[in-house]
Amino acid sequence: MTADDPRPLSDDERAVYAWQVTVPGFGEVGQQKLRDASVLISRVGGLGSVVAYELAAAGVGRLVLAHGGDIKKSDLNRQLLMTWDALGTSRIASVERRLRDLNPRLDLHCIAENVNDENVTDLVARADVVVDCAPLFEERFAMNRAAVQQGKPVVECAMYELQAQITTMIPGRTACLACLHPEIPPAWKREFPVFGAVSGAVACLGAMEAIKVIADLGTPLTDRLLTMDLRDMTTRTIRIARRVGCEACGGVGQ
Amino acid sequence: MSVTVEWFGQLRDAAQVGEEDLETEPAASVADVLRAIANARGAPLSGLLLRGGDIARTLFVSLDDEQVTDLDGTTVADGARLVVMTPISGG
Ligand SMILES: [Zn+2]
Repeated sequence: MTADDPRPLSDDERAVYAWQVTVPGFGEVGQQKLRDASVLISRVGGLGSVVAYELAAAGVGRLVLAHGGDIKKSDLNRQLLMTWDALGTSRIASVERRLRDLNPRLDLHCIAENVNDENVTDLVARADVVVDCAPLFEERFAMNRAAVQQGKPVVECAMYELQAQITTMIPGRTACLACLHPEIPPAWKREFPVFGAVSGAVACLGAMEAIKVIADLGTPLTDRLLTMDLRDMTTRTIRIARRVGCEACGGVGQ
Repeated sequence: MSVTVEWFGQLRDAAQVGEEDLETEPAASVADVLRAIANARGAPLSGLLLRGGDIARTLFVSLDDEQVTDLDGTTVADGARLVVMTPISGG
């Protein structure tokens, strides 16, 4: 064994991940990649709770989780790591407790604030892959810029009412968030209509994309925007491209 | 000629319909189609489609499942399907 060989799986890891290491193309090598990987999840709310729970269950070794504020009643229709008995207490503390209940082997970096211009460079630097689950375009654009600068893949998830969309972005190769939407939309509000089952559905897809990117499994959703309307169960796959002169990624990798 | 426009996100609320068929002039551009809808329908749809008389830069538009970045320079054919989205987020 050379110094570069990953540590073999422990007996506990073999037992917990028995149902997924048998997936063709994944195997124990894929499991080792997940264990040795770090994922930043920006806000652990309706989307991020389910992304974090799935990645914790799948055995991603380190989760960097950023979410400010205390639990409100209006969180509970979708933010599945928050609980009724913890109303009024720190969201991120509830997230940490629930994730540790599931997987005590996790290396958790829990930050009790949302991504902002001051912390974004450091938070993105701690991750191999970023999953964007944040509601405000200011923080999403800040994270997009940092991910592009640091060459970190980003899984972009979003939802509204019964609609959802997702794409996976590789800096220097695919469109970035600012290629899709070059400006902050003035009409967007932090609070919007959505069911938890909608955010949860696209969150599971987002977790799977992160797993695929880390473990080099299958074909990630790059250069394509998958849209879903759960009202009538229609899906659409739209080809997307880098925008010439993009303020965030223009010139990177070209 | 006729095109189908599918609304996504806040546009769906404003349009009060998931998709609609529209008659357009031959060789109309994507921007022409969106401007005609905004003028015909008025607020609140026009408020999301236009900004200062121009098509809002925040919109994401696809034509037959291909992203359109040049709204003025891309023409629509009879039977085309446009998907028009306002940005949506997590939360
Ligand atoms: Zn870009």
